[in-house]
Amino acid sequence: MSPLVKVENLSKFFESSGEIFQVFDQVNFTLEAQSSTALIGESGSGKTTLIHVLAGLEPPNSGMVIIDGIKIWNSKESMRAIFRLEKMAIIFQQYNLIPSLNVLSNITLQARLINALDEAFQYELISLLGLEKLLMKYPEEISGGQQQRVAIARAILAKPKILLADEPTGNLDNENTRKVLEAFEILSARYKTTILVATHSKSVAKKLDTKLQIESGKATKTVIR
Amino acid sequence: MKTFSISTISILKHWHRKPLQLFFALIGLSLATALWSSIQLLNSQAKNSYETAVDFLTASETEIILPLRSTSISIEVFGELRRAGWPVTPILEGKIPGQRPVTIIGIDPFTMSESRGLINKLSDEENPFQEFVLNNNFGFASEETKAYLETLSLELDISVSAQLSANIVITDISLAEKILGEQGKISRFELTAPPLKNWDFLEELDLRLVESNSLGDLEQLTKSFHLNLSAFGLLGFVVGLFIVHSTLSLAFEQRKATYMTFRSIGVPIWTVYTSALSEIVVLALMGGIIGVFLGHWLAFILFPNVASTFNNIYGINLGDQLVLSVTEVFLALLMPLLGTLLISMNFLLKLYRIAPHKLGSVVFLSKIYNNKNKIKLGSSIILISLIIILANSPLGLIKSFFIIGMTILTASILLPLVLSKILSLLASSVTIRMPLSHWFVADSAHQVNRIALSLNALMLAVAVTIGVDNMVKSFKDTFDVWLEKRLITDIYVRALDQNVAAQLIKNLRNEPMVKNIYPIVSSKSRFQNQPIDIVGFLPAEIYSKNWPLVESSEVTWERVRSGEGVLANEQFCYRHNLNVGDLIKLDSGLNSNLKIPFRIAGVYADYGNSLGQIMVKIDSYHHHFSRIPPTNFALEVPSNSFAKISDILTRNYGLVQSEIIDQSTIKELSTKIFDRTFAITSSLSDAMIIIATLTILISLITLSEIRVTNLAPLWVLGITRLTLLKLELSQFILMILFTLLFAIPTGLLICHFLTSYLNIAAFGWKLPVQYYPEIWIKTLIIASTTSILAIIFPTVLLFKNSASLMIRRYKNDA
Ligand SMILES: Nc1ncnc2c1ncn2[C@@H]1O[C@H](COP(=O)(O)OP(=O)(O)OP(=O)(O)O)[C@@H](O)[C@H]1O
Ligand SMILES: [Mg+2]
Repeated sequence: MSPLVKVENLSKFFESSGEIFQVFDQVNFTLEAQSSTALIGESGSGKTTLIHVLAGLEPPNSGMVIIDGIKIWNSKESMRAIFRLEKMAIIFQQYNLIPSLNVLSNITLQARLINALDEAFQYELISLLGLEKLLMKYPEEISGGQQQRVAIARAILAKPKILLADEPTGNLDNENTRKVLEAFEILSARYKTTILVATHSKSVAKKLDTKLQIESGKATKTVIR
Repeated sequence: MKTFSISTISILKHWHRKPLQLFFALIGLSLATALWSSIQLLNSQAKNSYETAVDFLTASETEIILPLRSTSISIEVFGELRRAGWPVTPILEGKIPGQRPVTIIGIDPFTMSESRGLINKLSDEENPFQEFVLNNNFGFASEETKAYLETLSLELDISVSAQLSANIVITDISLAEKILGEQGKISRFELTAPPLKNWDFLEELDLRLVESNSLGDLEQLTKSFHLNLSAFGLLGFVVGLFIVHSTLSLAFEQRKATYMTFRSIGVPIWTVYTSALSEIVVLALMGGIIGVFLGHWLAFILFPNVASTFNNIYGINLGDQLVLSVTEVFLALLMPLLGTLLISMNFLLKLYRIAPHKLGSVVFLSKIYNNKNKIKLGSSIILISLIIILANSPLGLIKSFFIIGMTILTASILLPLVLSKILSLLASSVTIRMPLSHWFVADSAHQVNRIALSLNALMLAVAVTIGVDNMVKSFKDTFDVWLEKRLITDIYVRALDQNVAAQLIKNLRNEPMVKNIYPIVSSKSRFQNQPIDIVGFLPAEIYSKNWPLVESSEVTWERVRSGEGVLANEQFCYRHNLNVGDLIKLDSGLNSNLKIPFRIAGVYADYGNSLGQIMVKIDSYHHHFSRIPPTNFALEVPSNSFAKISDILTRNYGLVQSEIIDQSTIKELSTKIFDRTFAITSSLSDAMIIIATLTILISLITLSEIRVTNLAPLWVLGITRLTLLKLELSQFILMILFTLLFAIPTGLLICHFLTSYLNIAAFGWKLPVQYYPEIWIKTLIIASTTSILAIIFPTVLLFKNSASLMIRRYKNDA
């Protein structure tokens, strides 16, 4: 099977107050379709940055990202946006909910935007993640962990081709972490989604097929199972 | 001290990092101050000019005191009057014997108020006042008159004055005495302040007080105009403060973390307060100082109409003599200082609430909005009921100001409330099956709260513009018609000399050019302890055809001609709550115990007059009020014959030029004041709308920093920036259009309260209101064009370089 995501010679650095900080230097890796990968590395190693680059949000300095046969950094920004909306779902470290919409509208937002709302799946997810009582509330009225679960529900409900998750369980207890992993498994098994999860948690990493380790600007990939 | 300086420095660093915010705050402050101070400047300048106007001497606009029977007054009477406290200055006027009818006017520079300014204005020479006082033979005349006077070999040092018309010399009263050979004589007194009430005393001295002959007092009109200008200036100031508020609130929000840190590391609240306060004061003073200078400049550059108004009306070049006094600068700085402190109260209070123990606690913004909305709704209901109660209670000046202020306040509370209510209703009706539209409406409801202030600034500016323009235009239209009707004949004569008056009555009818002569007499009286004028007139056909009645009946003129009915001016009727058909009892002027009943037969418009006035048939007047024969006359003459008639009057009857009034001159002067008033108001409305637009522009630019954070989640989700841009623009345009529509009824309400309440309370007459939709449409077009331009710029800018901005924002602020 050909890989769904292909990263070639990717370099990314930040320039702040005259100094250059190299995050990646000539990184190469691939993610197979329908695989699930744990993105690991210590704090500040560049996990979030990599997810942003893959999502078409933050441009690399050089190199190529090919997703589903499309060189995303060679196409127009509006094309990347549409690609993001239709093919991807992203769970952000900071949840990224829409403050003026209530929890229910937030959950269904992406699925509705691409006209692909599956109501049965919606109820299944809501009850799995324990969000039933929060549906009419607004993001600012619920806790951090609750917001995180809403963001996860939104991403999964969109049934994306590829799911990029940044610390999705950072604010969750063990029970909730287990439920989130269960949701990921449903997504992967039922809807054949390719999953990349940045995480510090060993238990989360263990549940996934592959490990992608970022260390001093390089990425190494190891197959766990 | 050390904590103070450290905290102040770290707070002030904000402005260094956000110079644009500092710039906007200063712009807002200086614009607000500029608008206010320029109007104050023009007002005070106009008042000075008015008071010192040359007209003071020659026009018969003022009340004067004349001898009751003889032709002149002796100097002793002057002393007695002054001792009794009468604010009078003596004038000796007479003809210099010779070929030409040159009138010499002797004045007393020491008792004539403003004489210094007046005299200094008569000539371009350096300090003519000093010369006038010190040189015993000094006088002013026009160049041509000076040449003639030099042929007479009088002891006169004439200084040429371009301000004086031909055949007039102004000298000190003692010099006039000498030249006229009338030692110790005074021809009349002019009042330098409102007259005292003891008219009996005048009669004891064989004197009488004579009304001005013209249409009431033009000064009253100018006062009404100054009142409007000041109100306008204040509103402009408030609109300017909106800019300051929006930048200061952003600066506060962005520094919340800094404040919190200070509080949590134990910097005492008072130190934080002191540094915040000093910051506010410094900002206000900086903006204020720039504003004062800007206002000075604005007064003459941006409002050329205004400056030329005063030039035209008062014949004085305003631009040459504009000096800011220290007190004026001080007062001008006080306004922005107080204004900024007032709007900062909000932040200072919030600062207090940032208690360290509350760090990190969750704030439920939407709950706060809901609670606030309830409070707002409650207070606007209370305000509306107050307005209704006040509007139905007796009139009062302060009360009328209150009503207008509360109307503006209620409108600005209601605007965001109504708008967000409509949007939330829409939001609940738009199904979430259309997620983007759903988001659009839901977000708009929130956005209203964010930009409520700028919307209010726009609403206020447009409403006030519509209200005031509509008022001025309707008054102007009514005034023109009224003037035409009120000035029934072409020439008015006020004879200062009783004998001349007698001659006029006797012989004028025989002059071929004079078609008719209508005598006018008047005297002071009181009605329910209020001073009134009683006017005797001849209710001829020319009156019944033209007189500007606002209330009348079929029998109005019948009753007036029979002597049983009288006409009353609007002021009188409003003040005493009377109407056509009511019976009034007037004090007889001849028998102090007698009261004479009259029925009000009609009510007429008498714009510009401050006193109540009763018009009665001249026969009844002589019978009941005074036997003094008339000295004022309205002459019906063929049109364009003013020059000829005035020649006859001066040559054959010995009248001086100042006793003959050409109605076209009055018309011209009054219309000029009105046209210029209109020009000024429209310049001011333009300035207001510009400032309101700036408010929108500036608050959107400052808000865009926060706005990116709101939009970033949608962008990262995959909504293209173009889509977001379109949504954002339509959101603003919708809100602005709603705001503008909201402004129309608010403006008309303001107009209604200005005309039917404030004006009656302040001046006693009602401004008739017409509606001019073309004014509203023009204002709406201007306001919507400018404000839509103002939103396009920051919005496009926001999206132009936003991709990286969004991701950065999103990382930092989420
Ligand atoms: N806008 C930026 N400018 C400069 N440096 C940046 C910027 N964004 C990130 N960095 C730097 O890039 C590096 C990688 O950041 P990134 O957020 O990707 O780390 P991370 O692996 O997600 O860390 P964590 O596990 O703490 O979330 C960090 O050292 C950070 O300091
Ligand atoms: Mg990270």
